[in-house]
Amino acid sequence: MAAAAPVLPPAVADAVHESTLDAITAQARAVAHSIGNPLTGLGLSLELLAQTPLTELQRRYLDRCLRVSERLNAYKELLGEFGGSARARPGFLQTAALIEQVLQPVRLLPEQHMHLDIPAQAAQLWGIEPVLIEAVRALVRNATDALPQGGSLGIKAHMQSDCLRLEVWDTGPGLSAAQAAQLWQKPWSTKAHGAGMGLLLVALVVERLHGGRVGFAPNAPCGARFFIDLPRPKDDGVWV
Amino acid sequence: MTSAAQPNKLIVIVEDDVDVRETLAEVLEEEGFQSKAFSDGPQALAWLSACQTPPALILLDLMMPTMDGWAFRAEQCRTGDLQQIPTVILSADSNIAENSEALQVAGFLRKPIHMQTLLNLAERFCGPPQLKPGG
Repeated sequence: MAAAAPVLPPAVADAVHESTLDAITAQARAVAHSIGNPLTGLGLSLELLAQTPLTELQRRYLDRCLRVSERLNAYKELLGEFGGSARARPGFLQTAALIEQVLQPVRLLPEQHMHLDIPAQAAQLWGIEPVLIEAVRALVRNATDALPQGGSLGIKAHMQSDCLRLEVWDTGPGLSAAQAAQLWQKPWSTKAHGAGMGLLLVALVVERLHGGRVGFAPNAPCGARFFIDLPRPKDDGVWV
Repeated sequence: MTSAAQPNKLIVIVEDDVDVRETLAEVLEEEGFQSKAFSDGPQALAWLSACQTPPALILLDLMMPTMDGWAFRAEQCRTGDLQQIPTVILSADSNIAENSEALQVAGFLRKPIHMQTLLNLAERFCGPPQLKPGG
């Protein structure tokens, strides 16, 4: 059995957390920045190639390369956003305002219907705003991607005894038990333009940076339900 | 460079990454724009100081080892003729917009750069491209 992590004095724990946060976000930013140059060379070369006469088979290979290039770009953007939060610190956030920022760049298809359920009891949460926005947005994007022909999706917040739970659900095809078991283990996706890396970053943001939990459950009557549990802060043993 | 010289339609590329530098030049040439590429700031500045007609645009990478974009820009702004040349910065950084304001440049291109974005920028500063005969 693995040894339990040492319990640090609060001031030291805070300092460790802050330096860890700085280190993680600085690394993410550095990686995102470094990827930009090769992606530029790759993407522009592929666009030049697309303008040349190609056989049908060559065109198919080229289209695949262009899709892969776009996927890499999406990962780069995600890492860059995560890395851009280097100076962010946790604080009380208004749940509705956070969700509003999450949804601001999200474009729904006409047949996709978004439902929001944010009761007064879940009006506030504790967290690091920029990375939380990206984490929830990654889940929302997965939900929209699961509904290419339309359907319902939503975000629900509810306060539990020790945490605020944010759920992102959809009425898409859902996941099998085998798929669900591997969700948080490695980059994984059911999509052609997979966002498996997105779920890993969600887990990193919630579990490592917030001390929270991530999880998945089937949605009723169909689809998927991802949740993130964000711990409520305590002050001298009292819930704040 | 004489201060009264009219800008030509040349685009100067200052970029240390060979793949980015060569691909930018190839894209511009394929689409009818002239370009001249340099792998570092000092070479580019030396050429710019000696050229008779200023280019229409400088594409300037920010992160370069010998002389970064900030140092290049500082040197460029010390010379009246060079300071007038429209400059667009290239960077993969998420805060490129803030950097472009701080550097007081004409714009920015965030990496990875897409072809049409580059061509729209080139046409904005150089006018319509010179199409190849039969192209």
